[in-house]
Amino acid sequence: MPRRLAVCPECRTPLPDAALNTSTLAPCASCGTRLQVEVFPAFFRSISTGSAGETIVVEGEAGCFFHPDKKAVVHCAECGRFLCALCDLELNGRHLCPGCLESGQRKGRLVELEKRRTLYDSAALTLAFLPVLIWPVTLLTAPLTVILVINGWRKPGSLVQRTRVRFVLALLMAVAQIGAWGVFFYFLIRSPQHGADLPLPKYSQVGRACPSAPRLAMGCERRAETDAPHLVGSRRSYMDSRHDR
Amino acid sequence: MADVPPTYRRLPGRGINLASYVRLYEGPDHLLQVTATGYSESYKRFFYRDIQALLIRRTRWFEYFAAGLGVLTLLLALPAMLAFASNRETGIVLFFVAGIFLALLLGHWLLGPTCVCEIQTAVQTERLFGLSRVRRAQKFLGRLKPLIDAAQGPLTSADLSAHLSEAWQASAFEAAHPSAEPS
Repeated sequence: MPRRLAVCPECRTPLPDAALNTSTLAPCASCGTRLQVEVFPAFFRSISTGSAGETIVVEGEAGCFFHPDKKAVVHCAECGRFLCALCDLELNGRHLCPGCLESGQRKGRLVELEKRRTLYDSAALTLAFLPVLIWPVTLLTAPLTVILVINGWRKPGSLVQRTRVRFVLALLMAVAQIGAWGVFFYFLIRSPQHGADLPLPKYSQVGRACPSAPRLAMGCERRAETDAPHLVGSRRSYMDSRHDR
Repeated sequence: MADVPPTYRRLPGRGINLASYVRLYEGPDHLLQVTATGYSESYKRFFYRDIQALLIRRTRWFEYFAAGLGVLTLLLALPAMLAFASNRETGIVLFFVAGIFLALLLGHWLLGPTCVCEIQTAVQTERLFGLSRVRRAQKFLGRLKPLIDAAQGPLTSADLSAHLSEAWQASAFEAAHPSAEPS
């Protein structure tokens, strides 16, 4: 017998009929809180108690896999085991045994029972964009982003509709960062290290062309010092050898 | 055993609860509350057949926020007017900041009164954090009610009165005879 009354959530005073399903806010007669209460038939429905399963009375009757003395009423849709009314777990019209339900929930195969999901696309997007603020870190995070995108691409994303645009953006950003690092390292390796191996620049030739004008030669050397300091050593040794001669 | 994921439609209402973002979705046979924390989502399902009641309770936060924003706007606008004559630049900056608070106040006023929305089932009463404005909550209720009616059947006013009078009688009986079991 249902005996429930709708109460004001503020003062716990039972609400009269006129205060229910009004479609507008109405003040509570006791505390004055303006509220709207919409009740549905389930509010007056008594809570049904589960069945414990019937005991086998006739010899040879099919019994429950988990409770052999109880009469089987249905079989598990997954493993086919016979189940009594107590062990029968109905989920969206399918009857499952407790073991299959638990393993399905653990392995994430029962979408109806999923309570949490990891958003790999959001993580990849953050990993791709946020480290740009501290750009040297991207040397490490960009490859990690690519790994995360490849790893998470096939994994189930959000339960509600979401596209893979975050993955694509993260991948593009990571590839761009890797490309930028590649270009940086290329120029770092290709840049000249020692002047001894290189030919003398034009201004040193000017110096050689006018040995009778030491001031001009000095001027040329100063220019060489500022423009290509790594070449000055080789030029000096050249000039010294000329002097000795 | 792998199931086809159900399709969800967005329902009015979104909100922030501490460090998470809450949204509501309409599923084929249940209401889904999604709480996102950036890198993960947690789900709560309320099956239409189990929903007993939906409560929208008006709160005073609308007035408090409006008063706070109004006071801040005035506190900035008055010195701005005074400063405008002597120091034009300071006046402009103060007017700009006051304008921001005024815009917030207008936005708050346009969104309408605040509320707390709760959903009740046989075993729980959960607050729906996504519904903090009366207008949005009523819009949400308008979308949800036909789905619940389809799952549970409509509740006419005559049925409601009958159920409630029965409940009142039982309640009165219990009050009169605390130890007795009602018939």
